[in-house]
Amino acid sequence: MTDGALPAIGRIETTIRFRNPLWALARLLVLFTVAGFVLIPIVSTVLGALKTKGELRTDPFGLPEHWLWSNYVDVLTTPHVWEMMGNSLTVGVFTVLITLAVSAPAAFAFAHLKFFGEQMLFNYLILGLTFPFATAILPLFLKIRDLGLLDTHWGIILPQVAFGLASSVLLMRNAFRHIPDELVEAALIDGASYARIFRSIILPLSLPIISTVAIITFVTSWNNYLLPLVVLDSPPKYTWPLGLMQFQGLYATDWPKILTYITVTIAPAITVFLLAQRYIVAGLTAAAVKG
Amino acid sequence: MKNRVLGALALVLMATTAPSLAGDTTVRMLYIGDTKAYNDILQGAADAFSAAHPGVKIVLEPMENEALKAKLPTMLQSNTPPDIFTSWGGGVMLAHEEAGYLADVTSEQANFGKTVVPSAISAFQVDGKQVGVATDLSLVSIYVNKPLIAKAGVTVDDLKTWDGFKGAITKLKAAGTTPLLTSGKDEWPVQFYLGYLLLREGGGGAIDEVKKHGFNSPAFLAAAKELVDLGKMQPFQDGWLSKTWPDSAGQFGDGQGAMYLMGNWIIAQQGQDAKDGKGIAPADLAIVPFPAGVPGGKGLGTETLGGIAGYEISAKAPPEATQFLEYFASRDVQKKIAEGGLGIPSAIGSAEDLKDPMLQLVAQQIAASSKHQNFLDQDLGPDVGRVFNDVATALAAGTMSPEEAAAALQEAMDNSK
Amino acid sequence: MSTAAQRLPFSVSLRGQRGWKTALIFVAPAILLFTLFIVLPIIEAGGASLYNWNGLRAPSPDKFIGLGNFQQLLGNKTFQRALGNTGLLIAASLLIQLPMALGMAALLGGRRWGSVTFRMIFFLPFILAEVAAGLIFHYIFDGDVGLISVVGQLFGTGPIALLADPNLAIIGILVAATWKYFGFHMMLYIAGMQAIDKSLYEAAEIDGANALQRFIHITVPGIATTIRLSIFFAILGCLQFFDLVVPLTGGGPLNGSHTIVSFLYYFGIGRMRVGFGDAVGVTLFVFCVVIAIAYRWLVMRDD
Repeated sequence: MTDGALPAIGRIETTIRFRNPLWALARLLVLFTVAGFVLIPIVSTVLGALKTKGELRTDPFGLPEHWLWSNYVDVLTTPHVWEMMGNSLTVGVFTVLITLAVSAPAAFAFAHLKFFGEQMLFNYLILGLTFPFATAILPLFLKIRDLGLLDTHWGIILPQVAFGLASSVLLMRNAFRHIPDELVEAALIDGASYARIFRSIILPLSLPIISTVAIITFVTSWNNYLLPLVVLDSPPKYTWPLGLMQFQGLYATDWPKILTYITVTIAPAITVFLLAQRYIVAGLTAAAVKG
Repeated sequence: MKNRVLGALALVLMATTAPSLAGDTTVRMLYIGDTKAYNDILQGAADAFSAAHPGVKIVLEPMENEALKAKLPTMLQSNTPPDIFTSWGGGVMLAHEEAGYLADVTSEQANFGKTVVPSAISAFQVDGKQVGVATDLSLVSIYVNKPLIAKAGVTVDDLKTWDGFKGAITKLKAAGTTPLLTSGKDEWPVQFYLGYLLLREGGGGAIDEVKKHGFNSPAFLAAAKELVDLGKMQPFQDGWLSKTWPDSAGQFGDGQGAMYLMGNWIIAQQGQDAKDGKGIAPADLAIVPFPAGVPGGKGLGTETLGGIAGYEISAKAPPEATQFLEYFASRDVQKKIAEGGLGIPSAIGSAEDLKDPMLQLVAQQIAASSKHQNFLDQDLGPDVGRVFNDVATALAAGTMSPEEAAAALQEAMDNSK
Repeated sequence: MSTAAQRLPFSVSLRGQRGWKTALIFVAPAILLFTLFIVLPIIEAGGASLYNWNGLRAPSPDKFIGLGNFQQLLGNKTFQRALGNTGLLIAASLLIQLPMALGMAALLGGRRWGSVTFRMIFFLPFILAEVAAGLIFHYIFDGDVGLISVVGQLFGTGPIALLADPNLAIIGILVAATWKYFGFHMMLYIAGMQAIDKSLYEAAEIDGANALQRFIHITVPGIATTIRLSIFFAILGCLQFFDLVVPLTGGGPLNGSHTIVSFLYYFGIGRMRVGFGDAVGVTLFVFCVVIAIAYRWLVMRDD
């Protein structure tokens, strides 16, 4: 699973398979119904973005009578739209980089080194898996303020790293453990330092798990709402979920415009997902199963 | 390699967190920006001020009403709070002052006195300390779509008394017209009913009475009961509990309901949020004071509910913030707001600038008021005020009894002490 | 970086310390960040929850009210409602979302027509931001313009303003939550199925077990660990449910659709009652820890 591909597909069925064509038909019927449940909201959002207010009211379901592209022009020229997407990208990238920089060495230490308090420190970190993000949002907010990070992107990046640590350290430690101790041993005998072993042996062998952690961290950061909501104040620094809610507040009755804004902001996520779905799906599910 | 990466990160960290240390002064202004015309006037004022004061940059941060109220408490605590921000005075402002978040601009009182009316200055004082200034006066009245009520056989005169008002609701319902519009999601539009009923039941001193002796007073219980009875008539639009204020303003502009109890800002908003972008024509709109003659009421019927809104200045604001606020409050700038029908400025002489006959009428009514009561959700402070909105909506929806409402408010008031 | 421990023979160092200096340097940043941004704030929340504090200045001693905030919380009808709603979310998750995920996994495991495409479609909502998903469903459920109004007309019931009814709004949230998360659990199950020993199926087929029997007697027990894990995720996720609530209902109407966390946000931060909000946070924290420990101890003992 860590090789980044979709779950391997066995020849022998692990699931219900129907020989009777009637049952096969029923299966498809169920699948198409559920697919409708999943896709109709998304498709009608994308189509609704191309309609006028009036048409949305009379015919929210059908194709637009006149494809109204002006909504896109309006939304894409709204102040800060591009900045907000850029902000989300910056925050996501830095969250990923720092998460990797902090959790990979720690995971290596927990996997291959022996030191006093190892088990205790590990359990301490793992405790974080059960901490709901929101529990301490108010004191966290004050902490961010005291550090002078309020209304800065670092005020989001660092807490996001902290909250992702438990799962990323756990995932990486499990993966690093699969690298045989003998390899580490041999390098030690050759006179390599632990830092060098980590850099030259562990990291190159662990690219799949690193990309998995990177993907999870990025998706979580890209979609995060609560933390930016309390940390960021000035619109030029907003991440896109804040921008979306702000836009919805200002154009409350103009559903076509809001739907356009939604379409614009979810388009990158859907595109990336379609391009890299093998890795995203594999990464997220592997993470969950191992977590 | 790793060290270099960390070094680079540290550099970026410093670069992003360090505030701009350049010589320029920046004034950040946070305000409710859901009307485009108002935004444009403010932007014009900011540009003019920057041109006259080289090196001073005014950064405008428009937010939607609800979003602003939710965000402000956290923003004030940051190291970079907005320098000037929208306020309705009252208990919310008091909480800000008690926490030490407001500037002392008492020395500017004389200057403010040259530009705005005295009540606009006194409304933004806490124990004699000047913490901001009011720029805008407003009045809550019943806005009426005249063609719609005419169709149901109702006249504006019918709406003068509480019984006549309820009779009109019955007639409108019979005619298949939604009598009243409101926003149960944002809740504050609903509390206008409770606030006005309280003024009519208890008179101009009703609010002070409640603050002193608690909500379990005959006036409050009677007002709450009237609201429950009104709610039982099902006068509001379908799905009113899920409508936001802009949703419902748009519905009013579209002619989907006959009346709206709202502040005078609805005149501009209903047009903007209507489907055709125009809304109800001025000739078809009537402004009627909240009905008098509520049974058993001690009120004179001339008490008014409204606001005296403006801007607070935060403690860390540079002196230029106060200067800009003075400039913004002046008749020069406010003239555009008055002429555009966007509000009733507090600037001296602004009454002459009002072109819209409806706003002229509103200004006259405020001047004639025997008691102009501040919005209760603001006046009662951040927590009790919100509970006031909650209970008003619950009373109108019929999910709460007057006694429960009084108890909930009393509890909130006790807790906030 | 060369240490004495490194030069010792491996067998010796394994029993004692191995690269402890490196370990210290490697582990320290993680421990530091974790402590600073998670552990300390939680401890501070515990402290602040004992004060009647508006969050603006450091709480003064005369604002100390002991367990007063917790008492108010217990008696708060909106909080009780939020607890009930969170319970509903958990129930819907366990009774609708997860069985649906399992059913879809059953139909989409293996290499069959459309499997890959359908898996991808079902997983898609999971990667969309909660805020966007919430607004999409706000639109779908809008009594005037939304799809639900069309559906209402089709069935002749008139417009159904789901989000306008304090008792029904939570159903809108449940539907959106199911839509958003079932694909994720489905993928977990499909991944878990890969690990099942294929010879079991061959044996069962020889014994004449039909497809349904094989699914119930081999597949489900085979992924029992995954199922227990996904239940755990679902419960913790429901306890922390927030992002979908804001754009869908904002906790309304009449505060009828709050979850624990949206209650914390609107009644703690929004009303400047930070001490009270912290009491909600502490309560939530206790819930999560108790459930995590109990679940590990009672259900996942063997895993």
